[in-house]
Amino acid sequence: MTEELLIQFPEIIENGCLKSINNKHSFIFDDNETKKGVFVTAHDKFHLHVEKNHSKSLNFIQNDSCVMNSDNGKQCDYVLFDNEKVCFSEIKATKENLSNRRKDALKQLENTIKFYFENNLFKNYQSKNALITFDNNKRIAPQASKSTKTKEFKVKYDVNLNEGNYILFE
Amino acid sequence: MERAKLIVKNFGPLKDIEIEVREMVTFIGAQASGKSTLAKLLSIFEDENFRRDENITFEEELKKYNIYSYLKQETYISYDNFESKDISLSSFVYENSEYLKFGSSNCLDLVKRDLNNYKKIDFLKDFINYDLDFIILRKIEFIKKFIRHFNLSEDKTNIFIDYFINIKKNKSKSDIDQILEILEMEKKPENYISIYEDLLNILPEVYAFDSLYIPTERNFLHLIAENTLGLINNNVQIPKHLLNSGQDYEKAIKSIKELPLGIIDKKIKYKREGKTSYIYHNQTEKVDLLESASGLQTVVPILLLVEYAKSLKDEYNFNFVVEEPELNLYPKAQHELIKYLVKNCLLDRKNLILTTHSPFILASLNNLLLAYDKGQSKPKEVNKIIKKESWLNPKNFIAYQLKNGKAYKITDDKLGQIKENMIDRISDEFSDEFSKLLNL
Repeated sequence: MTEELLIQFPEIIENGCLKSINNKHSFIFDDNETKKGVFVTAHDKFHLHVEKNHSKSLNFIQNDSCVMNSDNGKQCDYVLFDNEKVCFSEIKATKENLSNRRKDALKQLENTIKFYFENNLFKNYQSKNALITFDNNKRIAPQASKSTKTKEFKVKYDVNLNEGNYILFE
Repeated sequence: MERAKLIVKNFGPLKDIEIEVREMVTFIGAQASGKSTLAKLLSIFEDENFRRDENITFEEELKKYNIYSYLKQETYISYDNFESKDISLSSFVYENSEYLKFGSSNCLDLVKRDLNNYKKIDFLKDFINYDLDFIILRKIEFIKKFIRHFNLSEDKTNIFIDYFINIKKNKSKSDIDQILEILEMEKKPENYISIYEDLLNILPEVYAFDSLYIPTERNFLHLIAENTLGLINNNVQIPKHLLNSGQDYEKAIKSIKELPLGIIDKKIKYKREGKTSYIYHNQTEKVDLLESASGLQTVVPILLLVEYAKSLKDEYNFNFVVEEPELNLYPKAQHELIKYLVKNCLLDRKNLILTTHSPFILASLNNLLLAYDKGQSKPKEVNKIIKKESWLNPKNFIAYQLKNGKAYKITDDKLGQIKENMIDRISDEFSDEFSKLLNL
């Protein structure tokens, strides 16, 4: 998949949009100023925890402001993938209310999924996922709409939609 | 998909409402947003007795449900029950302080006045076919009773009975013209009229029951049980619909002696002994229902009324209205109750109307809707998670959110799910508040 990605977007290496993840545990902090993900330690403030449970390669694409560039911000932050699984990730750690954050995140994820699928990337992957991460992860009462959106993503794109801050590659 | 349409303007909390009524309807909204008012109106219009009996007035029905004072000069209410795209088999309009019910009897009058109007005759034929189908779905005795009107020979009677049996078996539709051919009667207006009059004579027995309204005050039903007649005779100021539910409840406790309460706990049982209702927590330990947990006191009346309705089966046409099924129930029990209600209250010609504030009820309904959808391709696997009898066909379900006197549809027909709604947003607001506190 990395080769296909480089054929379509040769500039991503030069621009530093593609990184390889080798650690078992990685912690990513979404820097609001640079709009880029920064790899930090478990002791720092982080938004996303990625666990790699295999020896194969795992890649991190800085999608927002790197691969996909638009002024209206309608793309998600990162795309993480190995040979079998891809995860589109959007961090929403703003102070806006949760409903609006979720609404924006869904739009950004959907746009990104469409973009990559139209370029024939990740479309045929076995495990396709999308993750919305809010700043504080806590218990929220069950919501009817969540399952509606989950179904919509599954039916339209065969993508599993989740909310949380942890991604496991095994 | 559209089975009936209800329009309400300027009636109590309802300012400008237009809703589609399917087999199952759910209303959500803040208190005093008009959920119960809408449920009560549907309860009136979905009642075959009200539709057909000219002597039952709209005002009386509103008084029965304690919503008469909502009626104003500027109130407009219309209800149309569509069997097909063009035919409304029952309609009602209230405008300028007057109302018009259009049903079978009006139709007969119209045709009698205008025997050469083919459009009206076609309309009458639709009524006859609709009612015949309704009877066929019920007991064969009704058909026999209908046939007896014609004093036919034994051979002809058998042909006639076979005709109806085949319709029932093949789930096809009755055709009055074919019936006239069997009867060797001419297809003329007078014959349609006489056949329909015969049919109407036996219909009161067929349309024997109205809506079953299960109010939020249901734990109160047990207190008034066995005393409702006294309360009615002494003109005690209790809303009439509560007394009506109380009377149904009395019949229910007399006919249902024992009931497992698996919704709450597999070990718990309801038992009627003499004039007292008990909750058995195991073989020997029992508590008077009136002294039992509040969840039990609110769920037992629902179960008893539904089980009673089930025991009456064929002859009855039920419209179940359950106000806030979640009352006093733990979330898991709410899910179990929804599964039970969908299983038992959505059978042939039975409707279920719910009002709710509970996000758990909505999440539960979404699961049952998804189960139906997934069940079409993976029935065995889905059945292991949610039993087939509780799958909810999205085509038969619709949900509305009531706000500022208006109704907003919150179901997505394409996805067959309940969309984002005001209850979701409240959950989000809770989370926002939590974040703000945490970040201080």
